[in-house]
Amino acid sequence: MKHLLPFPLRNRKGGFAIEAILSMAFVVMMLVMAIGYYSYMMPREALVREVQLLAQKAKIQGGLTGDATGSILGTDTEMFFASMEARGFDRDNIVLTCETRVAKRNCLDVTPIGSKGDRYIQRDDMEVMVIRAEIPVQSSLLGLTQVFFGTIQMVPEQYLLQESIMSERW
Amino acid sequence: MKRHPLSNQKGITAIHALVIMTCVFPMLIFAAIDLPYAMENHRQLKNAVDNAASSAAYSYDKAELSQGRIALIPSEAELVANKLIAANLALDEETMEPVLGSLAESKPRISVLVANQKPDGSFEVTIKNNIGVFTNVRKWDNGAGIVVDTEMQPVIIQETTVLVYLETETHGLFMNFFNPVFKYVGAAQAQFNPNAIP
Repeated sequence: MKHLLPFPLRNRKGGFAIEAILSMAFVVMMLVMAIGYYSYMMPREALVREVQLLAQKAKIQGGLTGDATGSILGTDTEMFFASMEARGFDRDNIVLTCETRVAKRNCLDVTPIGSKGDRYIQRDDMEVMVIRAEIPVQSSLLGLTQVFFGTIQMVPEQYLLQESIMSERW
Repeated sequence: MKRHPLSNQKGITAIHALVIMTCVFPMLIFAAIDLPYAMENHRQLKNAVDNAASSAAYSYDKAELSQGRIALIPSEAELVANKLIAANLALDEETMEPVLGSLAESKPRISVLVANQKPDGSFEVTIKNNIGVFTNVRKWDNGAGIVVDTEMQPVIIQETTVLVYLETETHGLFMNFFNPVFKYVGAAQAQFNPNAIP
């Protein structure tokens, strides 16, 4: 019977060697891993800049205005959560803390500059403030490679961003 | 009879293809993972040095300040700079040795230079933990001020200023033998704000 198609699809002699299949799968998974890792690192750089901006504000004010959930409009924390939401992160799963390193004093909800009140970290306290943001990762490509290679978690499930500064407010 | 290449089961992997893959894959991994990680470390370290210098520039001598002159206390400036660098790089504050999870591979080299401007316009320069990175201090030929020569580039100082030098060895992510050394100089100037409302 003549072959109706130009190349013999029904020819069962042709096939891929098992080594070729395994090696190609390995190569493809390595590429997926590289892409997945890259997709994990790229948003991180933008998030790091956001946390740096928060750190500069905390340095000048002796802390951050607003509460830990960012519910008060016009405050530093609310602007941060709004920025995260605009980037596609779920604000309910973001944890933001700001406290001093040794005494563990809360540096959120401080008195804004120009307002009456002394609820802020003073320069003379000589305390290091630590701003910490835990933001859930959105990249799912690395899950595929973890299943293929059978490894434990290659990257954390959250971005953990931390900045340490000292207050410059007297 | 023509045989289609797809049906040829004699295929083997050429040795030169294996050699090329052995060289190309590590380079790809380095370019995709270790290099961005090193760049992020660079940004973080630069940030740490700039923050350290900025905060150290607030180490005012209050007695001098009450006389209308800005002078920094070198020991306090060094303490503040070390504290901030230790916090940002995850170092032990007492020994400045890296702890678990630190960016630094080994104890970083830190030096702080404080240049206090005197009423006659000259400068009193103090170097804390002098490790030879501030190689020379000379008069600036183009105006009032001094020039501090560092390992990287000269810094011109015209007001009371603090310089913080940081040199640290970091580590790679996938390639443990890739240990780049980063060197930074952070500078911060202290001066009165001429626009401040009394």
